[in-house]
Amino acid sequence: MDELALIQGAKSGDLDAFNRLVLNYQGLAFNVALRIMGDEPSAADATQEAFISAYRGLKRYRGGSFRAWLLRIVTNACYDELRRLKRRPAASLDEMMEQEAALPVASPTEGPEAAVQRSELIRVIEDCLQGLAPEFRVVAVLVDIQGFNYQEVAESIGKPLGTVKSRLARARAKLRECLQEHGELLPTSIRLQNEAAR
Amino acid sequence: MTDIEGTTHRDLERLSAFMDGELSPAEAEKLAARLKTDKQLSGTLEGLRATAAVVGGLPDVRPPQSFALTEEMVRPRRAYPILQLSTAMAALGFVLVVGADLYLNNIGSSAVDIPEQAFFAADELASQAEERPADAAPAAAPGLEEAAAEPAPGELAAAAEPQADSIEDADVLPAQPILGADEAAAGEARAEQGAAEPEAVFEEQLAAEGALKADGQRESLTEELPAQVSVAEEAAPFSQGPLRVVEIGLAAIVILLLGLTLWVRQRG
Repeated sequence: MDELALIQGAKSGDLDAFNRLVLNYQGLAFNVALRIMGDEPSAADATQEAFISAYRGLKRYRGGSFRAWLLRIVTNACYDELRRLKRRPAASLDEMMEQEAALPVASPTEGPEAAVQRSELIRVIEDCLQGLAPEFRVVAVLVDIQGFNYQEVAESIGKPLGTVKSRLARARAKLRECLQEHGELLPTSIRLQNEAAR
Repeated sequence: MTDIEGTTHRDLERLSAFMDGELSPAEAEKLAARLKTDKQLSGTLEGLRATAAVVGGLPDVRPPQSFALTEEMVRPRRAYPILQLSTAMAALGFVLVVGADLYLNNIGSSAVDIPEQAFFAADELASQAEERPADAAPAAAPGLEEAAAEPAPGELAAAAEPQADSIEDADVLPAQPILGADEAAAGEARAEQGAAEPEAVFEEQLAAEGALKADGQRESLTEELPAQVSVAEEAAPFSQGPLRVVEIGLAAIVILLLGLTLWVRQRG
């Protein structure tokens, strides 16, 4: 069954049809939420809330990119979750500890040292992402991690193209500054460029 | 304005869009020409590309659970509309009770005012009636004086007695006989002005008419005033007692329901 038929079925109250859409998009939605939220439990909460909101608000979907429409709901759910966590910072402490435990471990093909370096690099990138303001972070995640084009990002965040361009440029500049502080962890190509720039 | 390595924000935006292929062909051509000659600009572009590549290298994480929805998750929220309706009803009830309280207070105060006014008017008239017969008596003939004066006080006294009993609680009582006495005194005075026999008869009739008019006024007043007094008596204690308790109770319920509604709404 194609996506449009599933959407129509879900609109008429077919929960199974909607759940097939959920299965198609839950990986994307969760990963976007994870990069925005910075930890798995909060990302899972935001993703679940987003799918519930999407089902309830499906009647408002008027065609166009379903992925962009859904990601708009996901990013809004993440903003809500971030606001909730800001109000209750104590609650997020446990979640941060859980996140530390959830960092990726060595794959069977790489040695322990390489695995540690990779994990460290991932942590640094995540820290740098979390150092951005949420509105800049979302754009960087959607373009640089999820590979969206500017038009889709504009639809997903409900802002004009010019805003997307501007936010992305600022986000990349800040990320670059942040990553340069951890030069020893960066891939050789970046380190060489940094040295050449000096 | 400059950002990194002396690159302006505008150039940074162009470089960022250029590497994503999001610049218009004309802009892209212009920038490409600049990049050939400007080493700093091309260095910044390479830096941005490398950064995007590193960030884009973050691995996808497998979702820890399925996010498929259950019937329970999407069950319509019934509490919210019910709470909204209850809050609106309680607020309406509160407004009605406060309105009723204000209305009853208003009636109560005006009803209490009437007997007070009547009392002061009656007091004034009584003093006038007492003065008039004494002034007029010497000028009138003795026969006429008796003829004119006799019926009026007798009638007034008889008429006043039952009314005095019926409105004993109200302060308007003195007004009733005094008003009648005043009318009678007026008729009496008119009778006294004439010395001739036929005129005396005419004046006698006038005095009787005055007495009758006074009776009519007394009757209408004695009917209206007790009713107003009783409304005032009923309204005043009611508004200050149970009605206030109801008002406070409803206000507390409205605040409670409003808080609960907002809380449920926030939880979504």
